Amino acid sequence: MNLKICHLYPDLLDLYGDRGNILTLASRCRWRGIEPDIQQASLGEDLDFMSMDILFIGGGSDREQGLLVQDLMRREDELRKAIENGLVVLAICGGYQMLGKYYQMANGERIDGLGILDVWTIAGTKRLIGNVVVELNPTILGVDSQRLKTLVGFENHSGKTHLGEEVSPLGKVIFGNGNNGEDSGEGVRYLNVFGTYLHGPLLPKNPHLADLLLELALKRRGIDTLLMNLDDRLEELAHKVMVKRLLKQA
Amino acid sequence: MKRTWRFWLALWAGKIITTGLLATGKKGTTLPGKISNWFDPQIMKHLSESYTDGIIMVTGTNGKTTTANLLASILGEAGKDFAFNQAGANLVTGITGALIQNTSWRGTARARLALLEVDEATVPKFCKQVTPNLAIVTNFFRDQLDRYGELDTTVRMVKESLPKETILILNADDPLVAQFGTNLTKAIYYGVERTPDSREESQETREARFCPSCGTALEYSLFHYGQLGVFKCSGCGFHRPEPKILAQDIHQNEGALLFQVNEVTYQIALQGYYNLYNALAAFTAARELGCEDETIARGLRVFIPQAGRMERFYLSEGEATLTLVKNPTGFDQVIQTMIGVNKSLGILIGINDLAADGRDISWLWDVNFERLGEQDRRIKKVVCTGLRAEDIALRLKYAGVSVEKLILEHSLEGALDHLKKTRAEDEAWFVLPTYTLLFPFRGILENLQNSAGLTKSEAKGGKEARA
Repeated sequence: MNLKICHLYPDLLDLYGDRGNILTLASRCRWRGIEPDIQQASLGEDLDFMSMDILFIGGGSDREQGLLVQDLMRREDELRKAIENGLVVLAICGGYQMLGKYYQMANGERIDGLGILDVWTIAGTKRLIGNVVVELNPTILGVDSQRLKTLVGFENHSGKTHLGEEVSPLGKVIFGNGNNGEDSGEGVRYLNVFGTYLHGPLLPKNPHLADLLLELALKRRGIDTLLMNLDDRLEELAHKVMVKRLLKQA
Repeated sequence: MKRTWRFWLALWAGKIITTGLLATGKKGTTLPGKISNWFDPQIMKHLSESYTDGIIMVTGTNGKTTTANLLASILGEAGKDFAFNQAGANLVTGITGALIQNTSWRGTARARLALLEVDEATVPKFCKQVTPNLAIVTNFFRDQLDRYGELDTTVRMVKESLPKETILILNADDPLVAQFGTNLTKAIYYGVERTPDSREESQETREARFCPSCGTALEYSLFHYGQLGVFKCSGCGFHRPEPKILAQDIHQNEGALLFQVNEVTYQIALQGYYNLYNALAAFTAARELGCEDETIARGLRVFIPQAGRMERFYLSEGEATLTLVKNPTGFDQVIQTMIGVNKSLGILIGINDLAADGRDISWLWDVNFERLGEQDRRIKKVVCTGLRAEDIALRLKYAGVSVEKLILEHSLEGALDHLKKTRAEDEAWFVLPTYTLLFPFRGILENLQNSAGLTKSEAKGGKEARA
């Protein structure tokens, strides 16, 4: 069996060790006998969103993000259809902002996003930088409660993202800023799309989220079995050490 | 410029504190610099004006300290006196402190020349007050993003703040640096023809995939490391400039680098081809300052590597190499060097996330540790330490290093004990800390070396480096 994982525009969106997320998904497939089929898609390349299992969109610098919003706009319809069909998407930072309705710059001008997520982003005056701990909303994730109950990562963004009424955040920020530093929400889930400001990178230290993405992707393929447990002692230790240290600081 | 009472207050306060610190055996640049700037925010400007032969600035992401030290070694051989911010104190406070140390109580400079390493983010503040005669720009890589925002911003900030009068000494092989010289007559380039590690294809982290002037994808005929190589842009014609100082016939042996410029062979006691660029930058600046080729050769040859840059320690159990790691490209180069020694490896990696290390450690995932994972059979152990010991261990697990070889140990002495506990016959030891762990590890290693009773020159078989 194989899973098709597409890393969108890794040559443009590769700030903050994003490739760690892909390495994590690939290893966690391989350790379970699933063959990860990694596609590194460049600008202008043919993309068949419907046939993908997991789509990853990372963050880039402003200039590079501008380049690819245009490219993605041409594919908006196909991407929307695949997402309605249950395509699993992890969108971080710039990728998260682009899936939303718009990005409003400091001068009030709005750059259109893809409008797939009911979120919008307003340029802030201060960069929100630092470690983040999020207490997960259990209904959003629907994972078994035996495992980790938090997300831990690092944020670095100046845009403040606000959520519409149709969607909910991934959880509540208990350390750091999150979506906008005001309503203590962080990230968003819509269908199987996960948007977040946490890089760090996110998946290595949050193996429960990595496995959730894999499970959802398999479910979409009609495979409804539980994933084989892996030896996650090191992953969970790295997660817990950081959560403990940050909450002690707070 | 007229000196005000503020200047005298700032200078004397700085000097009193410096004297006090030195008397108690401490290095004194940051605190006096801070106090002096508080009294006179223009102090750098006032102090720098006394250096009649001018100011040489060294900036860029990697290699600033090594480049400045190599140039200092050459200038020393040339018999020149100069002020120097040697300890890597490269922010406004440290630079001010170094200038104060080299200024008399009467406000005159004790040397005619100043050689100053300046942190990239400090360049705008520095150049607002000081107009350097020469500015060396080494390279730009991703480093401590949380401090600088994004790399593009850093590059732009440095470029825009360099004064028009300054002669730029630029790395021709780094497109991000080479673009500084477009349309400038006062730019001198240095570069490399090819190293044994140069490749037609690149697997590494690259910062500049696109032309810095027009945004078209850059085409490379050769990669040296990172984005350094022979590049051209099909969009606007921007290309790797012709280097005035070009290194040829490059090779490495017995911990030394050898290369030729204009068919004369030069040698430095450093490992890793990235250090060649530091030597070339110093070489080019020295030429510009009127040094003879023979003096340059001597300056490079007698250079002794400074703290924590491939520094060797001779312990009773064997030899250990200490080197600072701080960003993906630098770490990739260290990995390349470790693999190149063709021995089994005992490695200690210390990752902290304090302000000086960079609070965001996501860069660890941009390091090509997979190359180390491919060599798993040769790896005997990797001791992981520092505030982020678990993170580096996790990174290595996903890179393919066997989990049973990973040792987590938060105490620094304990970590070194784990490293030394066993040694295979042909095992090379590397200690790789981030900035705030460098000096603690260096201290421990020095003590171990002293108690082993070997000085560096004895361990090298009595070969005195400063011959």
